[in-house]
Amino acid sequence: MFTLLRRALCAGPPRRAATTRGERRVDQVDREELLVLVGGDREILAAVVQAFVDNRGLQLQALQVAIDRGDARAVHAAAHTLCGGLRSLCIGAAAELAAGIEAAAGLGIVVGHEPALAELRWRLDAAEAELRELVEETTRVLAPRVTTP
Amino acid sequence: MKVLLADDDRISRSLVAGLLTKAGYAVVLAESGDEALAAALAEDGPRLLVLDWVMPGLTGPEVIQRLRAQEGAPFRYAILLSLRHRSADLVAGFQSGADDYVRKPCDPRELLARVRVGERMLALQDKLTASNRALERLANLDGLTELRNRRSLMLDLEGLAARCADERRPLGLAMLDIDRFKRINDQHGHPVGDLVLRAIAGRLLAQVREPAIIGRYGGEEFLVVAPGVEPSALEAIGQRLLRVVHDHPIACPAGALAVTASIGLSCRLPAQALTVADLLKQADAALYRAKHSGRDCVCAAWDEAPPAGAMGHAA
Repeated sequence: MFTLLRRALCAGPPRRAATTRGERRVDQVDREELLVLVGGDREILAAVVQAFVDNRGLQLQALQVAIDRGDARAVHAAAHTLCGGLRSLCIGAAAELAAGIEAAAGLGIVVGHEPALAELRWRLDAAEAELRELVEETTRVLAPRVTTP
Repeated sequence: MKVLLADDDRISRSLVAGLLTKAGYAVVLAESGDEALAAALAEDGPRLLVLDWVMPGLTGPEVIQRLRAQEGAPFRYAILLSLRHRSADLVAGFQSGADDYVRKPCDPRELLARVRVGERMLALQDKLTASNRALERLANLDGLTELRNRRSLMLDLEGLAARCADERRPLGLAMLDIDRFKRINDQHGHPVGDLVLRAIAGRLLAQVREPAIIGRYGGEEFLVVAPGVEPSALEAIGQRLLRVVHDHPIACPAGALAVTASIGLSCRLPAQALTVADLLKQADAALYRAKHSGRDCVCAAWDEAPPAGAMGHAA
C-alpha cells in the first residue's frame, strides 16, 4: 500500500513550479517523508493533518502571547512544542524557524522574533493547503474500486 | 498490550498513537507529565511507556524517576521520545532511568521495533518474577504439608517477637507433636504417615487466624506463633488445636485412623525479657511434660503441675 501511495503521490515532476518568494520554497511538506512517517496509512495521515489544522492557530497564538509577554521560558516551551509537531509533519523549513525561536529563547532572547513568526505563519498557511491536498489525493488513490456485478 | 503515550503536542501524539494502534496496542494517552504519572500509577496501568521528554509539568525523565523511586513498584519499560539529538541528551535520558530512546520524528518501523523490544522485556520480567515467586514459595514452604517450613517459621517468629516487644504485647507459642507417630509409620507405612501429617496440617491451618502463623517445626511437630495472645487465651487455642486433631479420625486406605497430639505452650509477657530461644525451650519442655502426662493434652510453661485435662493415655 505504501509503495502504491508513494508511486502515485510522490513520483514524477514537482507538483508545483519550484518558484521562490525571496528565500522561501513553495513546497513546505516533504510528502514522501511524511508518508514514511505515517507508515503509508491514510487514516493516520488524516488524523495527523487534522491535528495540525485544529492546533496550529492555537500554537502560534501561544507563541505570540509568550513573545508579547517577554516570557523566555514560555517562548521556549511553545516553540519547542510547535517544532516537534512540524517535524512530525515533515514541514522542515517551518520547523527550523520554530527551532530558531526555541534556541534564541533558550538564551533568554525574546525580542526580534516577529519576522520569523510572520514567515512561520505564511509557511504554515501554505503547508495546510498542501496537507489537505495530500489527504484528498491519498483518499482518492486508496478509494475502493467500484466493481460491476 | 497497553501502552502509555505521553506527548503534549497533538500532532506527534496522533502520529505515534495511530502507529501503535495500527500495530495492535491499546494506547492510553496523556498530554502532560503529571497525567502520564497518574495513568502509569493507576490500578492496572500500562507498564510500557512512551514518553516525550519536554512536557508541561513533569518532564519525561522526571516521570520515569518518580516511577522508579516507588518501592515495590512493578517493572515498567520506558521509552523516551525527544527532538534532542546530542549524545549528552541520550546519556541524560538513560541516566533518568529510561530503557530506550527514540528521536523525533520517529521512523515508524524503528518505533515499533523498539516498542516490541519493550514488550519482550516486560514478558521476560514477568517470567522472572513468576519464577522468583515460585522459588520463594519452594524455599519457604514445607513440601509435604505446604505449611511454612522451619527456616521460614523461625524467620517470621523472630520478626513477630521483635514487633511484640516493640509494641509491648505478649507473644504465645503452641508446640504440637503428633502422638505415637512412629507407630503409625511402622504399622501403616510411610505413605499413611504422610497422609496423617497433611491432614493434621490442614486442620491446624484452618484454626489459625492472622496475625498468628503456623509452620512445620520438625518431623511430626508443628508450631503456632500467636502474637498478642495472653496465657489464658493461648490455653483456649491449645485446647481447640487438641480437639481438631482427636475429634475426627483420619480417613486412610486401611480405614479411619484415630490420631491424637500433645501440646506445649509458652508465653512471653511484655515485662519479661525472654528470647525466642527461651520461649521455644519452654514450649518444648511443656510439650515434654504433656507427653509424660499421658499425651493428648495441653501443658503450659507457666503451670509446672500436671494439667487438669491430662487424659492419661499410655505411652
